[in-house]
Amino acid sequence: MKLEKLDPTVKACTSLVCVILLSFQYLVSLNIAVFVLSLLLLLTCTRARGIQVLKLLLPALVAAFGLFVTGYFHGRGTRAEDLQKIAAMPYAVRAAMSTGLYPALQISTRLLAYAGFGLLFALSTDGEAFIFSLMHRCRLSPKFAYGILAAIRLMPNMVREFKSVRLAFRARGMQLRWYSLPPVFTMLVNSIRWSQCVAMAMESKGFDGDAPRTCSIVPKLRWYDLAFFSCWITGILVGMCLLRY
Amino acid sequence: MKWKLKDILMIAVCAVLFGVIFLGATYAGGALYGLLLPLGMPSLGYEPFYGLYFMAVAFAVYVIRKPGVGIVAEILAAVIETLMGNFFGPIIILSGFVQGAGFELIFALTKYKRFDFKTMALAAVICSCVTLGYNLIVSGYDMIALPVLALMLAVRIVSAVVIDAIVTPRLADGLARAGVLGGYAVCEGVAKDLDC
Repeated sequence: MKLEKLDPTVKACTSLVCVILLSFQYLVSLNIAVFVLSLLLLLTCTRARGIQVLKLLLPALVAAFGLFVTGYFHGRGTRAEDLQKIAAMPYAVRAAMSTGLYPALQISTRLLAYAGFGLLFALSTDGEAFIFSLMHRCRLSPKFAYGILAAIRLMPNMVREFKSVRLAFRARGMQLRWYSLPPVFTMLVNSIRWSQCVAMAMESKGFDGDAPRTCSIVPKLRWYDLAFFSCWITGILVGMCLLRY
Repeated sequence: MKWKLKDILMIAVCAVLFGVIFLGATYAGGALYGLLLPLGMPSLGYEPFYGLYFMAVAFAVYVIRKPGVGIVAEILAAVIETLMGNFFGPIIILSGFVQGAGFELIFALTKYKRFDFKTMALAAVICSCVTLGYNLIVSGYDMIALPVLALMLAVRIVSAVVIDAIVTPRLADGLARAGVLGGYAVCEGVAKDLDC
């Protein structure tokens, strides 16, 4: 079964609850298990391609490495309960585990676990389906739902506008660098004007965010949505109870 | 506050732009990250750009000046970032709520009457402290030594004050003068180039 079929709100709630649970533990093995499982699910149960996963994973790996280095050289030191855990580890592991290494691994693998959930959501969820699901599951007002979708659809226009504004500035002999702000300001002025026109057009077509609406697609909760949610939560709770390092 | 469709679209369009700027800043942060690697503090490389995270809430609060605007705007920005494929996924909606609440706190205490530099700067400072508290719990920053955390907080505060208390109000005033923020509270007291 492909994960794209799951309800986006259930996926988002699963990832939120799991992250909250993970933030109250310091188990390196659990963090790595969550990260590896997320990647396995991504590569086997979604339509995401390996290169796509790698592209999004790269900044997460860079950030995790940064946290690892910061934790290793400037960690607060190993806590008393972790020292007990380290003492119970096999000698070979203990030998490789200096006092700075364990906290560094704790902090960096946690970020990887979060990134695993994030990637699983980002690469298996259609943005529009997420917004519609939020509208039905979380009672998100249609005004917000369609407002967000309209703003996202304006993005290509904003890019096009930015390019033409830069071209217009150059045509007037202005020297522009990549960080020059005047074209950004002009583009923002035009984008806000568009947003006002879009709002006016939607309202003149009869859009009213407060009136009751009928929907052509009403997402339903299925057994596999609940199974996905409960499997992840149970798995993390069991891992928190059974795993030691 | 009752949101109108044009308010939502205006904030959402700005959030899209701020999201793109933030993405660009992340790459700039990557360069700093490399420079700070030999010192063992690469994570500090992202802190100078932290104020960009709060731009959506600072902009919305400064322009609309009504209760709850900041939290809603920041959550809106977070949802848009999630849809744009942020690798942290829906967790950033939770971060968005924390950032929005942290920034708006001081305005709630002053009953949404003061929007001068001092109040904006104070909001930026409080928001920086609140988000670092969030990072301590959720991101595991409690494993980092206190002096480094203090340095991170100091850089974050400077970034937030410069970007959210100086740059963002100037941007909003500029937009008001350009005549695109007609009907919003920010237009009161702003010299008009066109009509506001």
